[in-house]
Amino acid sequence: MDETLYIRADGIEHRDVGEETFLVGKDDQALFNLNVVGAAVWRLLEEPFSSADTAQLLQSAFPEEDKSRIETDVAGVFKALESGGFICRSPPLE
Amino acid sequence: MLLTFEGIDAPISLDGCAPLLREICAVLPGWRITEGGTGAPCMTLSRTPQGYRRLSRWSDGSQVFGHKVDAVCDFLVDLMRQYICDNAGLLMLHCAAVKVNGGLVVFPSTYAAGKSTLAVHLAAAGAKVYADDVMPIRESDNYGLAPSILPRLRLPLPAQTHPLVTKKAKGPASKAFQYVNLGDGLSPLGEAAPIIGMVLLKREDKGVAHMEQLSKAEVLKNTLLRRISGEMSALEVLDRLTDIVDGARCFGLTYAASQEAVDKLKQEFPW
Repeated sequence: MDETLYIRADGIEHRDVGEETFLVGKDDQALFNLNVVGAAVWRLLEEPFSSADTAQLLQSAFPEEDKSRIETDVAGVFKALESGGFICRSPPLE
Repeated sequence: MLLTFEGIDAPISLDGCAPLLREICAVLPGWRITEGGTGAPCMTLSRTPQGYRRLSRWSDGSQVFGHKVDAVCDFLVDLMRQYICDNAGLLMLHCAAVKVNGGLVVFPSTYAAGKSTLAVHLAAAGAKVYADDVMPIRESDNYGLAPSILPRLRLPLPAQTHPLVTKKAKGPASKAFQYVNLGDGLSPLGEAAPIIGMVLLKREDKGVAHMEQLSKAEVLKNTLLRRISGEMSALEVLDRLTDIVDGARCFGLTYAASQEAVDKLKQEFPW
């Protein structure tokens, strides 16, 4: 699992609706929806977090869920958020 | 021939197809459409040996319609796009909508869910139809505005819908589509009402109709996919639709028979 720290990119507008989150693309034209898992990841990334730590947190919050599935889902969310420009690499914590 | 439509800044040109005006006026009851206009047209409909074609910001004239009613059906798409471009702050939803006690119930468009047919059945049951395909939402209060466009049904009509489309109710038709005159059952142009319900439709071949509550997020997702927003920023669209969904009771309605769907809706949203 990736230990690289990520954080929300500057200037990204989002709105929480129930357990889901909607993000506005930097071009202010596209809209993205994050499901419950994605929304949880987005909330965590208000502070620097790695994919590995995020998966671990979610695994302890949802012990009944398959661990490797959570890892895969979280990695997928990180990848999608990074490629969409919603998150960026964070400097290492001191 | 130049035509000026109230609410559209530039005129629309009918080039060699003035007879289309009769069908256009028939499907847009209450719209002020006058002959003449100044400035370059924003849209041109032409009659060619192959059929009717249209030039606009969105149509390059490559699509040709053999039947005048099919040409008018398609023209309405660009007409409403131009309408929201020319009226700042208007959001447009692809949806059907009916007026019930307290406001509107909106049915965001979902493929083959039968929203237009359901709208006709709701009118027959005494509800007023605001829209069967597109509805503008005004900026000041996110109220829905009646566009006064006749509902359009796909042919052949379902067996249970046939009796509702009487001779008097038959509007312009092609081989594919039948417009339906609802008379007083269609809300007049510009009438406004708050949105109090949003219902996602799912039509099945058989089974008893049932309604279930849906999350606001699910309905918002669906509605976001069905909007036409012109020049509006995505953030503004998101905020406005979130406000609308927040103020509405949200349901999913699965049904096979339109009359059962009408009965279910009337229990939840009486009129």
